[in-house]
Amino acid sequence: MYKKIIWPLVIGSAFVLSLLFVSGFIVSIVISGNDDTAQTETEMDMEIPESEPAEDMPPDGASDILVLGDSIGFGVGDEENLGIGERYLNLLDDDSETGKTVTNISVPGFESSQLASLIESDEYSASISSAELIILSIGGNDLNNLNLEDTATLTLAFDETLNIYKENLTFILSEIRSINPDAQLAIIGLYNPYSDDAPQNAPFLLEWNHETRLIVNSDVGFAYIPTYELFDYHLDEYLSPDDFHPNGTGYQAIAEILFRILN
Amino acid sequence: MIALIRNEVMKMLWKKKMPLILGLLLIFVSLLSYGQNYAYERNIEQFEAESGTAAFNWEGLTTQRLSELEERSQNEFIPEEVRASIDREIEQLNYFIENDINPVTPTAAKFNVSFAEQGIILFIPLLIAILAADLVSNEFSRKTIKILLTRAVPRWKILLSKYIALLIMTTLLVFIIGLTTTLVSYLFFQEWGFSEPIVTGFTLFEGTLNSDSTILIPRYQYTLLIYSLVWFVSIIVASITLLISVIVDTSASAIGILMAALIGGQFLQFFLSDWELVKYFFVTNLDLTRYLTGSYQPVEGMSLNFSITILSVWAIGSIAISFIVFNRRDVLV
Repeated sequence: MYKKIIWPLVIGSAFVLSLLFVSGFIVSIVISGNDDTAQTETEMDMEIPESEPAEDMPPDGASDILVLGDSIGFGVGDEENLGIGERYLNLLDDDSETGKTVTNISVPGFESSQLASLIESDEYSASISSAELIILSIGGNDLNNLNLEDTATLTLAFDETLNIYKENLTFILSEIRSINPDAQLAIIGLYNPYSDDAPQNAPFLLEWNHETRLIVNSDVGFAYIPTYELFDYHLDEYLSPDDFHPNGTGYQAIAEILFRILN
Repeated sequence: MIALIRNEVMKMLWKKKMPLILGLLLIFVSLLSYGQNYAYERNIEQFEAESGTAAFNWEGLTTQRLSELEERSQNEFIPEEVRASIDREIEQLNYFIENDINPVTPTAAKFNVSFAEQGIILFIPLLIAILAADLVSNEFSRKTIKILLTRAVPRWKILLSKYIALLIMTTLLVFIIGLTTTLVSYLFFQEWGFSEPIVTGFTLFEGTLNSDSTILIPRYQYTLLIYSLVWFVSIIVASITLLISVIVDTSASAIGILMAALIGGQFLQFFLSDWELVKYFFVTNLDLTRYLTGSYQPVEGMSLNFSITILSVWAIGSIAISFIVFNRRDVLV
């Protein structure tokens, strides 16, 4: 009796399930996309933004402060969504009405290599060439994406990442200089959001900042903005709830030190 | 023919293998879901202890992330396709906030997918191997092959009925894996989570992972997609196991050979990743689900279509050789 029931059950369910799986399988192939169509689609998409900024640029191009780089430049974590650029401008405006504007083309998550290719693409050359002050924040993601397993591999990986970063930074700075020979550049140094949890990693960060500083010192129009010491003693006050990005107070502190160094 | 297939299915069902496979599955799934639940609760406790606040405030973090994304989406300097992918993430986060679901809570829907993702390389092929390895070789080692072959049916029909029976059982097994992982993990997590949205549809563009063409689908559809891929892989593994089972005489060596191929293939992939030929080996291509999750390092020239083609070629080749070998094989008493 039992044997009589199980056979139709097995064959029936196997049939239904096969149909289900085959259809799911076909859908997966369609979703994950034939590479050729995906490519043409993206290429078409890519063409539009390329022409757009060129048209939009001239009115915006007159902005005086340009913020370039990663999430710190973008202002992630800032409750008032001002970021370093706007906060710096507010400090300037306290002294005198300047009527200057800020353009922020930072992309959260950017690594130095991505910024290098963005600058190489000439997409934002107009913004760069018209800017008076360029605030640059980069490198944090390079360093943060290192997979820290043990000390030996970490040192190796760190050295490699640092070398790539140095090349990229040199390239970015020289490229910006060739587009705009007069602008003042401010490079935001890295702070250590993990100084409570992992104090043993601090030497790496210090070496990183030191190398950045050496590159930045190669030109009089470049300023290095240290944030390490600033954050080290005020981690609780300056970090946003994600424990990585600064909060409004943190950004204000960076903007103030920037203001003090440049003026 | 149908009688033959039925006979083969019954043979597979009444042997001790099925309880063995189910037992293995149950043990692993229970251990894994218990472990995941434990780790999750520990994390929450640790977080609460560190932050000093009474309750883990995921809503604050999610809302903050959401407002950042919205801000970014409004930035006119962001290219259109990046904005589309940001908008999808906004939509996803909005769902979590509206429905009051913590995005990182373990759910049954998440667990069955991650089990399939992890198991597709080794564990699921292994279960299939247990199912399929003694299909033909056992008939030889127990000398029952003589009785089968003395019937007035051509040899190819016998092998074909065995193969079809194997496909039926493989299909059922994949379903059982999905069902067990879902039910057992639900017991631990107490959350289904099948209607949560998830992002999929990553494509490769110029060698890097591209999230521009991603789409948002509910979890149950996603689970179905993942298990369809698992099903495909299982059928490929079953076909290859059939070949091994036809060639060797005992089921122990059949399982051994398949295990060696699977594990050795992982080593090859690890040590010789630069070597061009490795990507034509079937083990390298088993991990199909990663193409849907987008969690992989793109390898030059490897895509879902490529992997499916390679696997199909392996399976069709194995079936062809199996039939030729089985037809010509001398059966000595």
